Amino acid sequence: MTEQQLDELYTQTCHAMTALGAEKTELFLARLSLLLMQAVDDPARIRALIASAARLQ
Amino acid sequence: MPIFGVRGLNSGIDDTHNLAWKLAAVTNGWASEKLLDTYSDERVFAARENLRHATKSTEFMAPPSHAFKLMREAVLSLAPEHEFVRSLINPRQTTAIDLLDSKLNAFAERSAQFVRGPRPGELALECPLLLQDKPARAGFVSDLCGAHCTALYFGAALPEALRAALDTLASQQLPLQCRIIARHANAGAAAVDHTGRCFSLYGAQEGSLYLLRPDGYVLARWLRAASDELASELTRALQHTINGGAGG
Repeated sequence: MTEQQLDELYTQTCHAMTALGAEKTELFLARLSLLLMQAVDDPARIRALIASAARLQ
Repeated sequence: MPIFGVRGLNSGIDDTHNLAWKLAAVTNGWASEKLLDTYSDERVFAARENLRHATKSTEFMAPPSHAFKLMREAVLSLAPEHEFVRSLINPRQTTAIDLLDSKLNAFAERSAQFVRGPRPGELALECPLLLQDKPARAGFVSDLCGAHCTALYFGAALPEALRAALDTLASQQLPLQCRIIARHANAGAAAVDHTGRCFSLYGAQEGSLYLLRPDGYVLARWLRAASDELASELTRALQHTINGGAGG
């Protein structure tokens, strides 16, 4: 993935959450997590990513 | 045990099924008391498996926190379009627990030669058969089993070495019965695989043999072995079991 592609994905995520509103953002992120789990398809890697995201307060 | 998945009473019945033949084998003097220890090994393992499944179902049906509820909503909303999340909704109704690591299982390297069929530690599969009673009648694989270990021989007739080994075991009054499942009716067959499905389900060839426990779990299986090896390994597998998995 190039920096430009990452920029675009970041922005697309922001737009999606803006359109849904704060109330539905949480559910959106939960759905996205499940879909990304399927896409990554690597349990060890997903476990590490969950831990890594949870570590930050 | 949470109620979801009807695992409470069902696993209780499985506990009883597991214990009854072992108690009988020990009190009848066929088996070492060590066999009784395998009851705890196998059923504590099964209890943990049951708890794991039942807990997952409970957490889905009655989410214990906001996060469990949120994830459930995410799963339910994705499910119509995304098949892969649907297993998370599965209420995990009770099923037999595989005992793949039971120390009663024997001859893993022999089992590995099969491409399908129940492995040692899995339950024998049910399949319609034509039982060769007089007169012949419709039945199932489980009709060939009973309060004994069962050697299911797939083929027309027992090889001589195997027949001799079975006679020796019978003379020692060990609880083993051999049942022949043949492709076509013959005098020695207990059942005929009239649909051909049984050979296929068990991945069996002419001469394959499955050794089953009285509770229906597979102990060992041989796809194709020289008949003298098969005879001696069948004897060893049975002795391994009645010694509670401690060699033999």
